[in-house]
Amino acid sequence: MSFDLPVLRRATRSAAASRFVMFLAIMGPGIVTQSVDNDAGGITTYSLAGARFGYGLLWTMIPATIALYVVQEMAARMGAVTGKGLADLIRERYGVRTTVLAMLALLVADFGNTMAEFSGLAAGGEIFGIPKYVLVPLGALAVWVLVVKGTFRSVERIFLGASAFYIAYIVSGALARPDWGAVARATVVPGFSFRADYVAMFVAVVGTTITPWMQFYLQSSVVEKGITTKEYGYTRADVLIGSLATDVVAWFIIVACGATLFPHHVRVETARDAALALGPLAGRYAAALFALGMINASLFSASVLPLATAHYVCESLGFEAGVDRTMRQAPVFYGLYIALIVGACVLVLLPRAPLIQIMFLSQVANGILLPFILIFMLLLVNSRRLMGAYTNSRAFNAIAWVTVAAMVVLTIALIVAQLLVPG
Amino acid sequence: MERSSERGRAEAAERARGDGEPRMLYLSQIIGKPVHDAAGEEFDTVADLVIYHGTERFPRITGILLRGDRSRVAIIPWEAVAELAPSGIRLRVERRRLSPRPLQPDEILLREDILDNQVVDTDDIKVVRVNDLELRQVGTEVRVVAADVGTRSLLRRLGLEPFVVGVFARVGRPLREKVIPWNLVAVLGGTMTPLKLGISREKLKDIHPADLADLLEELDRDERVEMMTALSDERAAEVLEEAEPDVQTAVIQELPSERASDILEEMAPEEAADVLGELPEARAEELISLMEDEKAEEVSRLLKYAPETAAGKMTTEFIALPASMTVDQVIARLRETKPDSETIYYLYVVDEQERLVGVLSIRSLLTSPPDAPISEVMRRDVISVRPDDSAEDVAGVLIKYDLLAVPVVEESGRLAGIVTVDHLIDILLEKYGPRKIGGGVDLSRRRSSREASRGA
Repeated sequence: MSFDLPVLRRATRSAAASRFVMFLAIMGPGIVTQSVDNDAGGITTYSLAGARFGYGLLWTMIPATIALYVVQEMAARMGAVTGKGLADLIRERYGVRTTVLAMLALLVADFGNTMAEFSGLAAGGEIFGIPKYVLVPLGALAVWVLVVKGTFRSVERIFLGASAFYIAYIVSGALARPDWGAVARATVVPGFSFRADYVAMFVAVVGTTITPWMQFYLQSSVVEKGITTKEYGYTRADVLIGSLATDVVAWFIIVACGATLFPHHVRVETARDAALALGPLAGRYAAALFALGMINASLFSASVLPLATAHYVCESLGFEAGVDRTMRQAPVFYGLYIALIVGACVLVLLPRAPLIQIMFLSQVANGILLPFILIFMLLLVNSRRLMGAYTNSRAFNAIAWVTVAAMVVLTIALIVAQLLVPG
Repeated sequence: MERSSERGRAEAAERARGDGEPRMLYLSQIIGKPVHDAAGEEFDTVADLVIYHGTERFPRITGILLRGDRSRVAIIPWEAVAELAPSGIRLRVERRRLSPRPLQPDEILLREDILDNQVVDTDDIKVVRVNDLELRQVGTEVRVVAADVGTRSLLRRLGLEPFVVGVFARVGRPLREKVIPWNLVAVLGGTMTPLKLGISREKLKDIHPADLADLLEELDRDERVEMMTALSDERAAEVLEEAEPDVQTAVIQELPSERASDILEEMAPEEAADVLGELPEARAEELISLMEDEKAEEVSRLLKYAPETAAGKMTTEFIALPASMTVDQVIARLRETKPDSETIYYLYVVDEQERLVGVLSIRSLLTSPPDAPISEVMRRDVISVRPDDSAEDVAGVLIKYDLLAVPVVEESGRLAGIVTVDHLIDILLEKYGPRKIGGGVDLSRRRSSREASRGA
């Protein structure tokens, strides 16, 4: 919380202004987590959704935002009340076996996620004609330096700044000159189609918004920031703004691709196709912005994911962790971190790597893990001994359980859909 | 064939560990095992074991908690237990004659509060996660003797121990147990009873404040609060001075205001000012108002200086003497006031308006005739810095002139404070990052003290 707070406070005397400054000091965890959520995988999914179904999936953004907020608010609250990370709580409550299984699944899932980030980086670079054999190793090195040489706080501030870069997508969306009336209608009026590819895309769009690792990440950053129940009100606002911002970005990506690619029936398979196809239809700048956004998102998530994963695994299993340790003091921590980054990097660069299959496997791991994590969270957040007066209210619990049930059904559907229609 | 012989060796090692001593049990073996009453009827399973967390080195088990008791308050007293074995628990009374009692304030649940939780290894001075607990039967009592924290105990709980241990033994790097004798374990967090705080204080008493500050960083919020509550004001202040800035802020925010201001009062004024400068203004003001007037005034004055200047880094604790004193008188004064080590390097000579007129080293004091006035012994061309000089310039002066401290002199010539080499190191650390220097020192003395306590 050393955001030069007192100096700022002295400059601003009114109560409203000082509340705002307080918020600036507390904010971060929610917004950063949810920006990382719009990673390469997310951007790809939203692009494809817009290209294939126009504005047909825009309405999902409202329920997705609600679900995202409900789940993330619980994680943030647990962090503020207990002062402990989610992996720690699971270990202390459910023992070694459960923790080891959950952490193994998290490792597999996040290995795939890290790979997705590096291939996103490769895709973004190729749009500008930078070969992936140059950009991916450079990116991995940048991530390593940023994380190992910087402190957590400066890294968080860089990320917070990087979140602003998502405006690139909003500008891309505006440059695509959509029919705003139609866009507004499609956002508030739900429409559903039972075509198999629509269902699959629907599931993918909703499924990409809530992932297991982000629950761990958000809760840990709330703890790391030293937020207690006193400041929790600000953190809730932070989570709310993060949820809204994330889905506004997603919404603009769908709008951009829906306005340009869909009417021309451009078939796209990847985010790279989408960015390239955007060029002639929405102007060079829109395509360039789209690609830059992709590179930023990939780097951003690649810095956070492997490090966070190595942390949770080590802390919950009792191995020393942290970038302030030396390799000899925390061999497991560095081993995992390096394996995640180098492994993902190498696999992405292998000329004939089965990328799609590996990413699918990580999707499955994410999917299998998510219901358990969400159920653990609901049980933990409702434990009086842990949360005291801060358990879920009855109404909130109802929404939360419905959200969790919906997420579970959708994720299972996603896995089934991908099993039936691979690729 | 090979595998089974490996296992045989592991079992032999297991037996050897308990050789000549009573049977060893693991907590993880007992949880979930059946409970039989005197009539031999199996009526429930073990949910938890209770210990009395008192002053004993190895606390004894005082009761058991059954899975069937969902409210988790009915403890079956240890007197009702006939046998505790890896296969389960046999009671000496019949089920309907059991008289459960509530959990006492100084009792803790082993599985709930300790297993899988973090404790402090007071010997290695580390926060560790407990993978298992070793229990030992002594007569009719069962006592907790050690906490297992290594990979091996993790594997045991996963049911993989024989296999993995065998593999490691074959490649010539046997996996060792990592065991902390219970008398070296400090359990922080949970309800703070006076007894518990007393025990924590006792267990932490031999640890250097700098090491406690490192621990503070690794602990969870509640555990931090307990540690700081258990320490005396002076010790808590020493610990806080050594902690990282963000930890300092967090700890002061988490402690009750009265206690927080007591600790700040004990800290060196410049350190207290640094901590207060990082707090939200309302909280800083509240804490300053709770401090005694003289200290509050000093801290408020220091708070006005920008942190990265000479004035921001200086301490206001220094020795100032009038020029009229003799060498003898000065030595007598020092003997009487017993100043802190970091301020005794140089003695400053000031006039009636507190203007700096000279400096005196301890060396020149000791080598001068006793009746000489210090105005004759002192150096008059004093190297000094201005309050608004940058911290790096101050560091440069200290290094260039090989000084142990440099005075900070205002425009008017008044001596405002001194910056010592201790602060120089802080300035350099801030600039080059703490990681480069002494990230993790392992003191050899700790290893040997552990060996000794194990042998005992």
